Amino acid sequence: MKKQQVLSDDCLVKDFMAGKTSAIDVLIDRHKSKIFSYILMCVKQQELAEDIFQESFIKVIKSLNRGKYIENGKFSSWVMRIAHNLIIDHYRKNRNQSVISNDKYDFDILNNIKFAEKSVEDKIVYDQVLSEIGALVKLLPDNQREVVEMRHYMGLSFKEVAEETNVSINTALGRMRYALINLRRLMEERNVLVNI
Amino acid sequence: MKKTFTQEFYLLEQEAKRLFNLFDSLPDELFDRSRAQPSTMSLCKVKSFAKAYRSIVLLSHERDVILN
Repeated sequence: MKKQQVLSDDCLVKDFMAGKTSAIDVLIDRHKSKIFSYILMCVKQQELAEDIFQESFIKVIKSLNRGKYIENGKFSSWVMRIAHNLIIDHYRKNRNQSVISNDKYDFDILNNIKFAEKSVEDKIVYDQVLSEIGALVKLLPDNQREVVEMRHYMGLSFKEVAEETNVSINTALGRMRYALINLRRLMEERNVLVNI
Repeated sequence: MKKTFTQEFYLLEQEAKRLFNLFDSLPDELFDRSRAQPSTMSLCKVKSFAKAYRSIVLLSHERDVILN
């Protein structure tokens, strides 16, 4: 154990990569303060800093096991770079989860029926409308029905629809246009109301 | 619906970069007596992971070997 304490970082890294798992314990203990101080200075929250610290060393361990460590500088700098990237990831993740402010409104803008879960009645109506539309689609001419089914029921792109039906994309788009016109006409004739 | 950003994220990234350069330039020994320390729990988790992961890596290479 005493011998390990005087070993350089590079020697310990090599030992760990060679299978001596206790070598990483020495490396962690040697650099924990610097790495953790840096993370804490950036994020300023103890728990978050702990998470990023753990995640950083997990990445270090995985990289070392895959032999991805290259001796081109200090070990601590390499670990700090990994921690730095995770901190930046955390900032960017938070940026994407942008905050919606209610401060300038007299009412809660999120307390709206549009954001509420659909009721059982709504779901029944929705299913009924879908089934009625499905019945109308069956009344379309074959080439138009084919395009609607491939696009909306099978989720194919217009390019894929065109390839499957051996026509150009413009023809597929044209058939979809006529299909929608025909569907609207059929809905008016049969008094089918769509309000989804 | 109005989106309000409560933080200037660009500045946070710049600050993290500045701190990185600062910490990187400081000798490691300077932090030996630092008061900021990760919890024992965090250290245990990471060290245990190192041992467990090593076993997983070894097992994945030797998955075809049947051990009795």
